[in-house]
Amino acid sequence: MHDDLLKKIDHDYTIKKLEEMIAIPSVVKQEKELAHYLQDELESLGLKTELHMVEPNRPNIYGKLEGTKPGKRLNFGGHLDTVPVVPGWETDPFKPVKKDGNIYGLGANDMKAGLACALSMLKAFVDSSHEFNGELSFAGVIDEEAYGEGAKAMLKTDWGKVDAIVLGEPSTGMKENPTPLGITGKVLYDVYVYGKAAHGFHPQAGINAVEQAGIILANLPKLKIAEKEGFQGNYSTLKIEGGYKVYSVVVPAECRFEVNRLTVPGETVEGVIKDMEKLVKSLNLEAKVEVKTKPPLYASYVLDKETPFVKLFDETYRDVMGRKCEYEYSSSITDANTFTGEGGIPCMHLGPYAGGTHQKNEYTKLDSIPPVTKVYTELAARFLS
Amino acid sequence: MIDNILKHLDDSYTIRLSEEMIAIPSVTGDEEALAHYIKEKLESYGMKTELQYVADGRPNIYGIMDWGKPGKRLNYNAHTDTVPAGDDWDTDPFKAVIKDSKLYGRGACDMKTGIACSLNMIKAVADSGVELNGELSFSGVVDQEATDIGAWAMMEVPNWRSLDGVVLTYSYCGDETKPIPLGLTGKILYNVKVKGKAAHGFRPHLGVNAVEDAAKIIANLDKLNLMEHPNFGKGTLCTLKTEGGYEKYSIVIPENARFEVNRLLVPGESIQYALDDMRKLVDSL
Repeated sequence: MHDDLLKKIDHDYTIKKLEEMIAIPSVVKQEKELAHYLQDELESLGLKTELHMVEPNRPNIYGKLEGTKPGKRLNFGGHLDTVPVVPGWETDPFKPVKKDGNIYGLGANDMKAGLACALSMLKAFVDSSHEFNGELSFAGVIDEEAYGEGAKAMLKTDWGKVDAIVLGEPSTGMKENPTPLGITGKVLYDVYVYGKAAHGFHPQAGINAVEQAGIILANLPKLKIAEKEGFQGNYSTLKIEGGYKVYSVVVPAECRFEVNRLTVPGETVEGVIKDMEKLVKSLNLEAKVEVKTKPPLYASYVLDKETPFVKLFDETYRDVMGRKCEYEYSSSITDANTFTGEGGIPCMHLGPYAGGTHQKNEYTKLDSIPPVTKVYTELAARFLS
Repeated sequence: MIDNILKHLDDSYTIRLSEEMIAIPSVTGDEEALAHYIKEKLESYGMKTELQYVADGRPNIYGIMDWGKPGKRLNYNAHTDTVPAGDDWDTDPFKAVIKDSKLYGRGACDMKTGIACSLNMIKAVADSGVELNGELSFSGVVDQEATDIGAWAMMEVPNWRSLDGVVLTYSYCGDETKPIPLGLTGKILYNVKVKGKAAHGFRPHLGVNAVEDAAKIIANLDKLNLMEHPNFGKGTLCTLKTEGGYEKYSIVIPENARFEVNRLLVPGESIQYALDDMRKLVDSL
């Protein structure tokens, strides 16, 4: 264990940064202020930084420390954006509140606590002047809660050409919240159903696109949803719309619906589209149906347990936490779908203990934060030795 | 007596009035100008008139004449609104055009010519000097092309509820192309709201998907019990609209979904029957 380094972690600093970040609203699409805050913070720590304007007014923020000799490149960070405020908060979501051993606020666990731990780890490296080889970097990306454009953009830059990434998402590696060794992919079906208009009093003269869409949805359980070695695909209909815009008794000629589908490794977009087309064909509908997809699209991935970075993470976690790390194959989507699924870069998720993610009264357990910073620090030291 | 009235009928007058009324646009919601036109005409024949405002700027127009003798009370009814003009006309929809023995214009068929026939008849009765028994009246109501608030408002007036007969001057000519109704279906517009349980869209098993459950009902509408009537046969069902799911993209199991189904009812099927029918279907799923 690199005690010289671990001793230099300022755990109060971590909490302070978390509080400051909660107080900077960064609901998806409004990440700019937080990105600038992080740039200032990283520079004050002595990192070389860069703001990357992914979309107008929506920058990713990167920063790096260079080691003594060339070597591997390791990145820590995650997404800047939070989900929007949902109704029912007992406190102001943008005012961090400590209560009952927790800290409450929007983004408290998803994922400003993870970002704070990364900052704290970097500060420990700087304050201890710990020698390492290669490059230790930070990344804060936009848009993870929507279309993943931040991670996709980072992957296209040199900042994305790292050897390994640690994402501070709220996976604790405990039984209730194992850390992913693989994640499902995702396809968003966008299905258009075309019928034939007619007077609604004589519906037999037309083809009702809404009713035909209803038949497809009622038969979705017949979709070939895969399971594969611990991965569980699934589907959920997210939206439907069809029928008159202004009241009139007309057989609807058009209807559209969207179905979210999580895919397992081995399933392709083409295959998934064919699944839906096959289902539709089997129903012998009168309506004409077009199976399209719409963004976002994510690739699934699976990490081999024998991957050096995964093994190192596993050992480090055990050494620091004093227990073994629990893993799973998640039915979920994170930026790892882009970094690992598309980019082939091994990605591990680790963050402090979470409650109320994507809901009201989101919080992180205060005493779960320091151990995460320790794992980050020890992991970086070992990987970049 | 009847010949006396008949010889005062003037078809060219009917056509002239039709053209004038077509030139007064009265798309549903904008019936006022036409109501005033009709009022003026009815008064010129000696009728007592009344405007009944059903909504702001939307009056029904009534006209009554009698000769002080007891008798039956007969009303000639029309709706004053038309559907919107729409696109693709070869001529101006609000300028009547006669071509190939046809009169073109918005309302030419539905139903300003019907109104014109009534006005022609009332004028003929007035001009003939004949004194009929009972009462002759006219009613022009708003909103037939939408939700019939005009007709409902007329029926709220006790005086109109006690008529002995009503002639609806709609374009039913009584031949095989347009037989005259001896009965009409009823109608109910089901508004079905489905409530599920929100959850993260990646964990659908933790929620109840309102859109998927609504679809299940829609896919089973054919299980509703449509009664068979000796004259009407069965009613009809038509889903008119559906909506449910996110307003702004987010991966959440939809908690709410809604759909509307138009159902034509045959005699014997009451509104309660239709409601119970849908409830029974939903329960069975």
